[in-house]
Amino acid sequence: MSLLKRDIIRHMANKRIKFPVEIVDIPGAILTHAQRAAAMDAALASLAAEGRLIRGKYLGCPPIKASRAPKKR
Amino acid sequence: MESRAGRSLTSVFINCPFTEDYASLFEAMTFTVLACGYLPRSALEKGDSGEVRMDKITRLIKASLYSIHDLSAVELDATNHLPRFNMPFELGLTLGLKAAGGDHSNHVVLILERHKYTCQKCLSDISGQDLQAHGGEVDRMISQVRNWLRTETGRDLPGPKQIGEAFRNFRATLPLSCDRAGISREDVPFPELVSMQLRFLSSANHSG
Repeated sequence: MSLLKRDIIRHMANKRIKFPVEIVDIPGAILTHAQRAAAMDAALASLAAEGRLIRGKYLGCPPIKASRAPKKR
Repeated sequence: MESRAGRSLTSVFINCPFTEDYASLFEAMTFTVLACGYLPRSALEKGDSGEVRMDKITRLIKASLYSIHDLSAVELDATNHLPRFNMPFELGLTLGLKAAGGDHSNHVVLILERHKYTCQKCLSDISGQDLQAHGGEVDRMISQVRNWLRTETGRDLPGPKQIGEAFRNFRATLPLSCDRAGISREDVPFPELVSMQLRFLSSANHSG
């Protein structure tokens, strides 16, 4: 059984994980797993040090603007 | 997981505009697909430069059980004052493969547009299809993609609100992550974007 399927079943069974994902190699990615993990962990640590990260929630997330239809003449 | 035809049962082909004003919707779409346990595939994937683009798109569609087609860009663009035909063309290609039967007859399609009934006016052949309108809003996009996967797969998936919150968190951390990794936030290649989203979702499973 693949890890993905196992995770989905686990997710369905007890909701202990939020998202049924596994880390897989994406062809063409420019960073190694270690580089990516280090960059993202450093970013999280930096946000936590600034007090913007509390129990996995980020304060002051900017709203995401809706994309607009192209202007017509 | 692969089907008899060699298709990945978890691959979702993404057919949408790759423009700057569509970037947040595109990122929300790929993030939602990943958060539901599926893998987004796009023509932006790095491949052999010698491969003809049309062959690459056909290969990706054939390799996926699911596909999402956003026809938002049928409206005139600000630069050339012309509609983009790539998205309807690739949708036609997908529906053609599906209609031809065989291994691709069970290909599952989600068709999106910006405003309800726009496509009925400019692509009347599609009037029998059930299109979804996202209104250019990230939350609606997330909800529509997630709910479509839930309906078509019958699997228990994270809720749209949960995915939306995680997506906002991801967007908030992405500039800093890119800065630490020495890459430009404005120019993150598609495979790296998917990898970073995947890593973020995996981390979210282990945080409060």
